[in-house]
Amino acid sequence: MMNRSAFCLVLILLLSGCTLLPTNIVNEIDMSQGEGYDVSEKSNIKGTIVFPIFKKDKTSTTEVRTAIGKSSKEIRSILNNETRYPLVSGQVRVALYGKKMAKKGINDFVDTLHRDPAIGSLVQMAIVDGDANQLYKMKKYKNENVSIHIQELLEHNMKMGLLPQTNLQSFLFQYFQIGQDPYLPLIKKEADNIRITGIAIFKDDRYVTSFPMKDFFIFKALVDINNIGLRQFILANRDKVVLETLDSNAKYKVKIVDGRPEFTINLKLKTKLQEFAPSEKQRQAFDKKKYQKQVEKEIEKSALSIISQFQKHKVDPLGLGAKYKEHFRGFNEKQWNEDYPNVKVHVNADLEIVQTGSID
Amino acid sequence: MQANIRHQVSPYLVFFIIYNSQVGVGILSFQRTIAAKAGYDAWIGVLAAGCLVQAFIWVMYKLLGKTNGDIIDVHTTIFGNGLGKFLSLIFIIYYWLASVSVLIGFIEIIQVWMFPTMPSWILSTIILLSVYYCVSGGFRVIVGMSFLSFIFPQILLIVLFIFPLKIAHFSNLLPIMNHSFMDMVDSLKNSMYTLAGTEALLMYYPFIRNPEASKKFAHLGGIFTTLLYTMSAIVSFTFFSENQLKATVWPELSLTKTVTLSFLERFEYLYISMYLIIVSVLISLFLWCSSRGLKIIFNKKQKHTLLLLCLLSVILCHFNGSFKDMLNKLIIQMNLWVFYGYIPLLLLVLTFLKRGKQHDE
Amino acid sequence: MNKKISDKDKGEGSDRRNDSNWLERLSQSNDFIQEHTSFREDAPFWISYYRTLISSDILHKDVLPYLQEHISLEELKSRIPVQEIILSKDTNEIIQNILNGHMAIQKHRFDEECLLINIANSKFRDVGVPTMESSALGPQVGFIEELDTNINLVRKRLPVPELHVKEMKVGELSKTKVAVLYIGGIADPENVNTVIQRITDIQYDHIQDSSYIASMIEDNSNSLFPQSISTERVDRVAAGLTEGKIIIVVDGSPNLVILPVTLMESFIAMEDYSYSWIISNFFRLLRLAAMFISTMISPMYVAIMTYHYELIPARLLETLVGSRAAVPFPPFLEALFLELMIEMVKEAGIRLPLKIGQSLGVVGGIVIGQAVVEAGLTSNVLLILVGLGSLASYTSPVYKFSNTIRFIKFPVIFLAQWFGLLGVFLAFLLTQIHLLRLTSLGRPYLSQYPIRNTSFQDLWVRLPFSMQKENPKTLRPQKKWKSTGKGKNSGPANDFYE
Repeated sequence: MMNRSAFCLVLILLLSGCTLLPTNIVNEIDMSQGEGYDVSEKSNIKGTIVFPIFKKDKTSTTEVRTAIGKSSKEIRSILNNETRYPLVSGQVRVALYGKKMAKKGINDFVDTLHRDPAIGSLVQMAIVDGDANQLYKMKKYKNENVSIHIQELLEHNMKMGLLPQTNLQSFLFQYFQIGQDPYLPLIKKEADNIRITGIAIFKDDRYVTSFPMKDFFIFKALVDINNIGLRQFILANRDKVVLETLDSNAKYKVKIVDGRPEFTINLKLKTKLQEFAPSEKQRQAFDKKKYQKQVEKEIEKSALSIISQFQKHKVDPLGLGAKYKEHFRGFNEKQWNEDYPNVKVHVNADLEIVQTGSID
Repeated sequence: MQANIRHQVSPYLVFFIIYNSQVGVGILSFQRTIAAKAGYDAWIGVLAAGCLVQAFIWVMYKLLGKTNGDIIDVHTTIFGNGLGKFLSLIFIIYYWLASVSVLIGFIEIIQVWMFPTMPSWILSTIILLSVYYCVSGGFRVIVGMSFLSFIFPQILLIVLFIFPLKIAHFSNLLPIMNHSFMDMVDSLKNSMYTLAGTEALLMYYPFIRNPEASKKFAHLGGIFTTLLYTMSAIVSFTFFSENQLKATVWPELSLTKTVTLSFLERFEYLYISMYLIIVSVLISLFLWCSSRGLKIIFNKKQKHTLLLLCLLSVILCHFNGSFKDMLNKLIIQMNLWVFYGYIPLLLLVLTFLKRGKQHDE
Repeated sequence: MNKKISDKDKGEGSDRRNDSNWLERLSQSNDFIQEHTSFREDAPFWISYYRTLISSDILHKDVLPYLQEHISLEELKSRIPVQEIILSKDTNEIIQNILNGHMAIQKHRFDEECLLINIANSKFRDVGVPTMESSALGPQVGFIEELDTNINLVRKRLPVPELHVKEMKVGELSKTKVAVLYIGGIADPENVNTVIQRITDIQYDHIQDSSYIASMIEDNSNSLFPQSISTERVDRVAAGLTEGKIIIVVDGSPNLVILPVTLMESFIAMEDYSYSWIISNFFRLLRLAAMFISTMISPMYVAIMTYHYELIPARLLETLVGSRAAVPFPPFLEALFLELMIEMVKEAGIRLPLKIGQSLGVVGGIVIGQAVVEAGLTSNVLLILVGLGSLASYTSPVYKFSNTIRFIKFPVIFLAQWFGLLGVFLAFLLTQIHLLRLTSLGRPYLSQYPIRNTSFQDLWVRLPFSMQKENPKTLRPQKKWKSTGKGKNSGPANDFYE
């Protein structure tokens, strides 16, 4: 009796098997890999979706589609009317937002990335200085997968270059964290290339300001635990020292003076000398101690200048508020927001040049 | 009333049964509930709940050691046949409802994460079919599955914590003990629910070969799960910022999204699928407990009671939404009052009774 | 044993009533010969035998020369230089023995008493190299179709009186000789009794091979997994005996059955013991991994390609999707089609004669596979995966087990089609439960559970010989230690060389 009923059940499953669940067969879906959002007229959004088209024995081509709508999912359903296969979002790798869009706030779009379980948390996000749509539509990348190109461009710069680690998860973390503001890379279409031009700083989900490439080194040292990056220092006497970080560690200390927090950032850097050009054009042995001191000063100076710039814009990408909250039980967010622009920050750099290469 | 030696299991296996009975779908979502009031101090609540679980295991061993049987024996010795069996029935219903709540929780996860359109009855049927197959193999098979589900996938899943730990913000946990006592009690209470499950011992005690020797393994099992939960809580607390965690329904699954291998991404799909094993074994254990209880109380064949319970579970799984919340609330209350209130009382009563009898002699 | 004799008695009783004369019964076959050794009717003897069963060499050299004089049968018995000579009046015994290659000698044609001389033709074939379980290293001796030779081979390796052989006859028509071998003092007597009991309980007309017996005495005959190992390797049998296992030898079958076994033993090749323990562990784990690859790889492909495209990393996407771009079938049919094709090639390769089989492998595997991919009916990624899976299915040293692996992936492919990854792990769960429920001679089949320290000496991994000292506990052996020595004595203790 049991056997027969089990058999019947199996039979039912067997017969209905092929249509039991809606399938997502890989070659019968259009997998969007990149998304972009720009402002359009009448408070509409111009959404761009990039998906590859795979062909047998040929390299894939990239399809860029644009639609205007009120929400990102509406844009998807509009675009579904013109794609061969249904658009799915499980392979999204890059989400780009136009600068104008970002100034209005990107929370609506981040919400769907956060909510949809099909979307991974390692999606790369970036702000486009200009139009995200224009960037995706560049002719040069018609035959190259533009979204993967941008993703890998950002990732290798985070891993080996000067860009601090960012992705959807880090954005969400900073966005939800009390006493910290998120930051994302800023990219731009320059001539025929896509180039990282700066780091965009947000207040909540709104773009506020950005800083250029020359401050990447110090910013990365302040926010990332371990990093590798190259930085050139031109010292007071016009000596040129190029250092590569091997290991860095920033420690934030909070002291409360007269009911107000004071921060001390102890920045420890272990570096390797990559290039050294003394102002007198003649080879001389590298004097570690002397240059360590000078470079330390240089670093402290640039750190202070970038922090004062943040304070001026009332943004806190370093998470000083969060650090304050960790050390002070009576943390009050409102009070902190008032205090922040005038809070005192000291930076102590401790630089060590461990290696000088194969010559000294 | 010890079970036949052929059906008994070695004492060290109690470690795996305890582990299995405590780990269910709760571990995927408890981080949020415990942090609701106590914030990022909630992991202390988990540790405290772990201590309570240890005490509870001790109480259960004391209680069961006195009659050397299961909870039904304890009840009949104290209250006599009729009332004793009625009281045991409450326990049986608890075990069954607990299994249903795990099942509903898992079905919800599958529907949200993997197959939004999959009907509940198909999922509950396939899970309960494998549960039936497991339980009909006897207690040894269930214990064997507990053991195997520990080796695979649990150990593997613990290793996966490496990925989120790479980008963890440990300073999130600071400052420690920043919440009021009542908030901590709330997190303790919520942790109690996720750490619940050891009460299955009340039914399978007669199936342990040398109960006295198994004690230390039971405590070790409790310690292991407590540490597992604490670790899981800490990993999520360092990975998410506090408000982000409060918005995330299944933090453990969102954590797994960061796992990437060169040939595989998005590990959470595999994670949920592997969780099928853990969940099925847990449901098997609880359904075994309740079907065996029904068998003893009503003197029916376990095959029939198990089938009945499976069918009822399939029907209950059809209700979701408010029913699920109600069920969970009910189980939390039952767990708290029945096991942490009533069982210690029972131990006291039994101790006095035995002492009284000794005096009479 | 007693039961068996009583059964036989019953049968004989009925025979006796119907046929009192065995000559009449036997002479219905044309190869039965009855002749007289001299011209005189009363002088020497009547001899009868099956021409096809006896060796005419022995008949002419060792028997006929003695049949010239007129002497009594007793005297004849003492003179003829053949080992097995019986003097009998029992009709059934006579028939049995003649059918087994004896000749009967009578003084007069219808005498009741006759002398039975074993002149059976026992030249089957020489002891050969094991063909199904070949190995590069280690002894190259395989069993053959003859029971006595097989027992002889085992006895040569284990020359101890404790090696007990219990013989019995099974099969209503075939009367196959079956022997149960075990080492008294090591094997669990309960196991031995179970085996003997189950064999004597068999009621079946014919037993053609040891696999008949093996599947008839299995604990669960509905299982896909073999609960005994059929082997033609002498070393495997001898090693099993010393661990307390029980061997069943069946006359006419070159495969001996080893009982009880655990799942992991299907991953152990005897060759493992010829290598360094590190290398043999690598091989053992390789086979274990191969089993997972073989059963999981195409279901995983089906599940991921049908439901979970999110799992594919960006860099693999192009390869995987591009290769499938023109395929008109869903991944499920694609995989099923390709798997079935590979299985057909394998099956045809086994059934056909060796030489044709080889060329068929080339045609089937390479030509069809290539053509199918070029025609765009399957993706070449899947072809690689299926090829890998079928390769992996043959790594198990136990042939029956590799057939299990071959079969088991099909239900998993179906489950993967219905439930995606969930189905793959559902299959895993059900298999685990099934294996846990399975027993071999009442002993747990799944060696992972309950876990014992002996599983780490020589089951999961193989430690060096100096560290495998205990017999596996799952068999409940009566002798605990395999080795009583303290291991190697060379080298200074607990220190480096100076």
